[in-house]
Amino acid sequence: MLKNDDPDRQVVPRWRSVESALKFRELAPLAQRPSDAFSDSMLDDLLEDWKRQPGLSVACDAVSAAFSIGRGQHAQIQEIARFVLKDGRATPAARRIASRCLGIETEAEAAGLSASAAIGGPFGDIRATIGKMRERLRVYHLNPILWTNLALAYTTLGAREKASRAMRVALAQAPGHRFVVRAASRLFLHHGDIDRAHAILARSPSVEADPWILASEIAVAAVRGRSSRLLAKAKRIIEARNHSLMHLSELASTMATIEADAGSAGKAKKLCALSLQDPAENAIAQAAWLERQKGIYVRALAQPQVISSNEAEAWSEFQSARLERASEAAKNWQFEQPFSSRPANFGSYLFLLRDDFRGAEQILRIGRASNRDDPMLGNNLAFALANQGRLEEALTVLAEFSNRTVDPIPAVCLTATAGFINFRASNLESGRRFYQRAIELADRCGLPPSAAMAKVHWGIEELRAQSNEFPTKISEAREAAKSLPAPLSGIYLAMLARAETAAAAKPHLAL
Amino acid sequence: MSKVARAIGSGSKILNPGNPWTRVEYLIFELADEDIRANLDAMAKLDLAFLVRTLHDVATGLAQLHQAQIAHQDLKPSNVLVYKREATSKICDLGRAWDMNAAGPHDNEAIAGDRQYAPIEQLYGEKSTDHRVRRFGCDMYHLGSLAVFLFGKTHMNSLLIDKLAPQHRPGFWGSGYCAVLPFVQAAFDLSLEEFAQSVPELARNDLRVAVSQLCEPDPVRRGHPLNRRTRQFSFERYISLFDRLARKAELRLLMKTA
Repeated sequence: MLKNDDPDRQVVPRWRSVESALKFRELAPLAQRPSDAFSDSMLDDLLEDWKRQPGLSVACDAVSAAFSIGRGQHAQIQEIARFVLKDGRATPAARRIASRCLGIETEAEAAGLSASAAIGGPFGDIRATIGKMRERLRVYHLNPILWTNLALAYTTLGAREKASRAMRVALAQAPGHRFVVRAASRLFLHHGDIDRAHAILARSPSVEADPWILASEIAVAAVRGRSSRLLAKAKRIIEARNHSLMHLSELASTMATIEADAGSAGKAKKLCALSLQDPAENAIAQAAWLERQKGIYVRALAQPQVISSNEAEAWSEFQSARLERASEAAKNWQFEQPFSSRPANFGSYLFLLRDDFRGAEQILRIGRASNRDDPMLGNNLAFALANQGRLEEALTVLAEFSNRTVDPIPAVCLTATAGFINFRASNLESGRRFYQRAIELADRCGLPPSAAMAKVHWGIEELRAQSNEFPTKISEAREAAKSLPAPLSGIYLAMLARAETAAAAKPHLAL
Repeated sequence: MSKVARAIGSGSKILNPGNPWTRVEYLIFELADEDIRANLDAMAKLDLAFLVRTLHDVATGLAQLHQAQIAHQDLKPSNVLVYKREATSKICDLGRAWDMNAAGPHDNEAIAGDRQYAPIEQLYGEKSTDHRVRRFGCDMYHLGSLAVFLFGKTHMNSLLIDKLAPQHRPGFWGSGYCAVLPFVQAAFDLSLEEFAQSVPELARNDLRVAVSQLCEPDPVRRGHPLNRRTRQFSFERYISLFDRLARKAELRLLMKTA
């Protein structure tokens, strides 16, 4: 069951592992160094040494020193690097540096900065990775990047207190660092501590100098329901164009959202277009959201981009009713943001629509680790479990929310899922009561799509049970499916058709 | 200054008699057998006792210079000479040195010594206004990097740069050292691990800790943590450590040969 698309999406900072942030260009320097910082002439003494004393140690010294100043491509250094590789006494470290000079190993590995510091993704063994990270921090603790990655791993597991502690250390070690500050803010947003999430950004020593931090500050201020005191500054930075468009992308996207919220569609569109000229991943996702929710269409969004946004791709594929592609994109989105409930929510819904209940369960188990209280995730998990015949487990999950006050949409979903479980347990009357209650609740709360979806599922269950009511209910379900907006209408009609085919093929399912 | 190569004479010579501009001033130092690199090549296999003893000698030489308020600033493998008869190593080439009590020709240069060996922060253009951090901290980094070279035949700088993303390397990064420091520290963590793999187990942990303090990428935090408030760049603790490790290794060698 789909909870509506986020009605108030802001460009809050993404929190990824450092490897992923590098891939998305979020950690690039604001300024590049002049290319004449180092020169070949700096190698003269070493090359002279090599002529006089052509031994392994001099060779290693020369190769290592040349590599340090980015002169590994120098012809003579390359010759010496080959000498190092031929000598069996060279240490593994010396051999690797020589290989780098010769370009034998690609830079891709280096781009990963610290492969062993990665959290291993949501599908890896995060607990083992945490153990390794802690061991490394015991040996050398001045590593704010690793502390931040540790906090991410803890957050993915739902260990809030430990995550906060790790993040506090990272913040103390690097209070003005873009990666650390944005990650810390995102962590406290996830914990629901919005004031703190904003304060970390607003008090960062780099907030006025770094457009990435400034963009986050404005976005989180908006989440907090406040207007940032740095809006004018942000406008000046965008107008001045002293930074590359890539560095301005998130800031322009944030400002586009502010303008759209203020009703200035024209300004929002211009800023959105600017944000897509050399876009950040989050800006692409935001542009797609602005189109879906605010009707602000920017042509650049349809054009191929340097990088892609899994979030935007998931929504775009869903809107084209390509559910398999959409669910894969959502899975990748969750891989990048394993602690966030949004990819888990949307992704699981997509898997459920494809009748891939195991896939839905997998994505939900990850999402629920750090969002145990999210009723939509609980509802979707119960639905996925019941569809696999694991009714007891489904009821246990559902029971977690039985005495809680939840928003209308999840309330409708939870009630309908209770009806579904009762049908699967052959308690047809009880199932009907729950479905009826769900539809009434949806009607009362003004949620026609939710009511329609409940009707479709009810009809399918009556059909599956071959009850006396199924012809009426299937007919109502078909009407309800037709009333849904695109692409849901087509998806739910297809779901009904699948159910009818299955019922025809397996008449023994009838009670 | 027992661990600093002694100048025993000086003079000048015109290389091209017709051209007075080809005059070269020179210093004559006590004769060494070779620099440390030739000695390393001559070793059949890694001799822990010799390597740690070399580190001890070099640390002592730097401490002797610091005692006289002089920072060497250009310590590198070619500036460590081996004196076999005395069974010792000494540091040489004070051409880039900084003397607290006398102005020198290189005092205003951002990187006084050879750039390839410069402390990592200097490669990024960081220039501390605190002369202790800039000058004595530089010697400390060089000592750590020498330890990396003696065991791993590479320098701390190349280990670090190898682990940095291309956009975070000194030749590319232009946004100040403070902003890149966390990435350098993450690379440093991995570099320490790699360095440790090249050190025999007997000295592995001690040397890893020592190098982590000597080469700490944040120059303000460089040095032994217990010395941070006073005498931050003192080598005394490292001299003791290297001496202890050398004795341990020598003892083990004796026991083996016996």
